[in-house]
Amino acid sequence: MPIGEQDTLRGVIFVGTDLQLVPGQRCHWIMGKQDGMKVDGIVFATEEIIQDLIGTKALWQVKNVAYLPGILKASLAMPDIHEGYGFPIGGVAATDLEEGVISPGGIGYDINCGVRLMVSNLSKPDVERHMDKLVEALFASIPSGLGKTGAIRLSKSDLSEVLTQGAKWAVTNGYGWAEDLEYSEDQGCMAGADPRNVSERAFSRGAAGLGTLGSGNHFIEVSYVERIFDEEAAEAFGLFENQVVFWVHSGSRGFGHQVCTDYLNIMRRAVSKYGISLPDRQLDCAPTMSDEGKQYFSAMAAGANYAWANRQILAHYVREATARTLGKSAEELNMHLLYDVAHNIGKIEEHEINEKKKKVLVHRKGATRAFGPSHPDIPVKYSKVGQPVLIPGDMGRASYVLKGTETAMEFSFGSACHGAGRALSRTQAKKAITVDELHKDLELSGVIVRSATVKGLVEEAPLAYKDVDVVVEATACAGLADRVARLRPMGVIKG
Amino acid sequence: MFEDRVVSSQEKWSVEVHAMDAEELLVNFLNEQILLLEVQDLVVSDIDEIVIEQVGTSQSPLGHQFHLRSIMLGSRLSQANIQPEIQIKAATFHEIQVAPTYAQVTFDV
Repeated sequence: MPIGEQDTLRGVIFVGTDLQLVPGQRCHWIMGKQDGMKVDGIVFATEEIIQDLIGTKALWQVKNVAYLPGILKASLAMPDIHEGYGFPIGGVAATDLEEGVISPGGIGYDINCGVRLMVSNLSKPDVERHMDKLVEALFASIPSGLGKTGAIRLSKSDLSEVLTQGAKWAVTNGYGWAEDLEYSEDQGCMAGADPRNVSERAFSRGAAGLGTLGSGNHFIEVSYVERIFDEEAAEAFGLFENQVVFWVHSGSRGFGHQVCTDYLNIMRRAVSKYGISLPDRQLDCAPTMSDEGKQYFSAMAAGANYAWANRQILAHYVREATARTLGKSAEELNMHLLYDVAHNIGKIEEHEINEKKKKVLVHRKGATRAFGPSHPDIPVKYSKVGQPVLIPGDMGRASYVLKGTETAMEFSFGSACHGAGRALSRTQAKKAITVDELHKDLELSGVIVRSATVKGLVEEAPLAYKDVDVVVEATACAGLADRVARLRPMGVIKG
Repeated sequence: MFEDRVVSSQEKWSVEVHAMDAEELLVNFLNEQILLLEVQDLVVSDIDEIVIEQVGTSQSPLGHQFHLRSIMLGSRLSQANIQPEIQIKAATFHEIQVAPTYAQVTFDV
């Protein structure tokens, strides 16, 4: 069969001459174990999404990840899968804690790039007439864009505290509310961080980056709740129709990049030392329980905590700017944190393997934790409905709040998609639309945008992304998360 | 990164990196420039001198087989009156190619 064609009898899609995807249950596609794969690959997607991936490296990367020593169940891809560095973005791989490996490539350069969502008691009509002023105030308050440094300058000992305390450091130092910590994955602080395993280079890159948005796909967004799908979950999450909400999307800035860069070199030596054979050097790894593995885990946790502190500070700036613009305090505006989730992270979690509970290391690279109801690691307030799963789409169309499911625990180590996923590269996006066309489109959509650079804005144009409705539909179809609310953008600050 | 704008050569600094192969040497060298720009505000205009030596074998301690020493010329960004058009965060191994007269590297932006 030609590549990309589907065998109409069996429904098999031919990804390459020797690589096929066989349909499993709804929106599950199985890539059978072959060559050096230690497990199958499973892609959670619709046929339409799969067809769009033919000709890219993304599906081959699902295959490559299956070579990792100690990988459990399958190399998984969420519906927003696209090509990444070694691992696909939207990739999830769990490895045996005792006999498996940890791979920096499975977590990414921007460690704990993630998103948080704050609610309010404001409705769309309350804010619409203030949107120009609000977007300007947010843009002025939040250092964003190329190489921007913030108002916070940290000594090495202060930064070490950030690396071990995460969001708690920020709250203790006046950036936010104590209750915020409860409504964050890991309470905004990952255990096991050890600044001694972080290089001087990473310390130097982290000294002035805290409280800055950064560039690339990072943003602050003011949205409103357009539609509620699940009244019970929406009530638990504090969401209602036409409500104004605030997104913060950022990560660990130069600090996380340096940690990843440093440990890729260390892992290159580790694969030789431990005799690990991999199809792509970007998957370089070390046994999780080796010295190299433990050191990377502790440095990665430090990066995760840097990112949680960063988003906590950015959220504080959003509250301050909104309060100033609207003439009421953030408390009066009920700007509570709904939740904060990581998209790029490695976590030690307990999952069921062969009908037994087992601690495993879950790599999530462009994927969101999506734990189901009653899981002990989610806030009590959400226990009945499941963990909030925050899915930013693009700046022109929509975003979603989903809820985690029991079946995600079974199928995907409690993971779901993390966004719409790129459809065009940055270069392709710049060729496809001009900045004037983009501004016109956004104006027609009723979205006000401010960006540190014109180029940054065009690279993040809505057409550069897949349709988030399609990705979320596939996520629900695969049983990874269920829809709670659809949100529409009103104003965006791009890094 | 800076499009057509010219960076003057007011500053001079040296860079040294080790690596176990040519690809790593290139990535480490470029990542050093990224670090220096972010932390010390130094932007490269030219390379005054570059020396690459084989210093070990695959059995060497730390796996270092290659050593690169270079003298870089450039300016401090704050003094150069220019702003980067894009921010490069890391040089990666994605689709990397290093040949005697040609190299390809993908940057994370």
